[in-house]
Amino acid sequence: MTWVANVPLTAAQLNTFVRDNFNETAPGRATTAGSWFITTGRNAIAERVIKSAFDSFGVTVRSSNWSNASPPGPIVVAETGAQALVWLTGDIEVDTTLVADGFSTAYLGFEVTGATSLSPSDERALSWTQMQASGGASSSARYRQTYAYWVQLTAGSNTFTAKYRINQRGPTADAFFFRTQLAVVAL
Amino acid sequence: MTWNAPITFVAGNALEAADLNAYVRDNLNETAPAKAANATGYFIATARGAIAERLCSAAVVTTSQTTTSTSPVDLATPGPAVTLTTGTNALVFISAEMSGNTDEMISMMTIAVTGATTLASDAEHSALVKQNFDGVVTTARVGALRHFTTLIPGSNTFTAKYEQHNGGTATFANRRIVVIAL
Repeated sequence: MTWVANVPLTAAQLNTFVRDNFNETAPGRATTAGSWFITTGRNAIAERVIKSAFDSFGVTVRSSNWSNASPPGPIVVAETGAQALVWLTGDIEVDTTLVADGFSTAYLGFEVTGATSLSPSDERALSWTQMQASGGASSSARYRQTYAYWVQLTAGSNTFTAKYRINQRGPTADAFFFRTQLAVVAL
Repeated sequence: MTWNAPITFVAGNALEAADLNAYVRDNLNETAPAKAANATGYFIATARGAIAERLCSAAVVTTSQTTTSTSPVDLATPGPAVTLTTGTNALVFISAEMSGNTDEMISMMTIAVTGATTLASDAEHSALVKQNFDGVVTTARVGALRHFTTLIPGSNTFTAKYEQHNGGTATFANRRIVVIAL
């Protein structure tokens, strides 16, 4: 409101335009160290927390369908608005000893459940393709990759879960995933 | 100066200068516009009722250099490195073009922290390439993200370090680091 000379200042005005507005500012909403503030609409902000999960162990996957690893990979539960930046990192390796004269592609992706239902997709995944010629070497290359994916969500509590699969061409191949990390920058 | 949880004003009570100073002046000085000092800064909660301005920064070393060290070291041109004021958290992204000259060898880039915090390089959060030689050297641009959550608040320097394993010479070029202070 605009204050006017000679108009009495009331407690109700101070509560609405001073107390309540201060409670909507960043310090008024701050509760968690390391969180940041995102606009949720005109004149409205929300505190968001950046979360991550990291699994140091390695898992082997032979399924061509998206699946959980055993033990399960990293999972992040985060309160988000309509968007988030999902950052995947992991070592990916394909066992070429099982692939003769073919190639296989290993994928590390993620699904979203909770307020949002988003299935894993090759387009939102790290990948590594290992080619193997007949009589070639038995060793495998490994690369630690990282990439961030911008996703549209339904605002609320969303669960982000790492998913895995291997697309095999030729005889059966194993995909190895090590040190998988999933970070969610909630917006 | 600190944030004071806004009081509820009561009709009939005198409005005092001390109240206006504590609940209007001091609180306004704790809001984002009052704390803004740099272009492209952003605001992070440091505790309940408290925020701070933070910055993002990046550095790059393009020179291609090598190491045979099996423990984290600087290359002939150290870095890249970034120094920023952080809270307990930071997001740090590293990337480089890497290759090795021996089958099965691993070329690795990690992050060390100095300053307010001392954290040695951690291979668990490295960027790496493992060669599948067959007589052909593979060069790949790879990267890694590390979410630090136990930093000591203050001025922290994040420096890229390099090493190799399983014998051979590792080569690194176009080395980059990005730090988002939280």
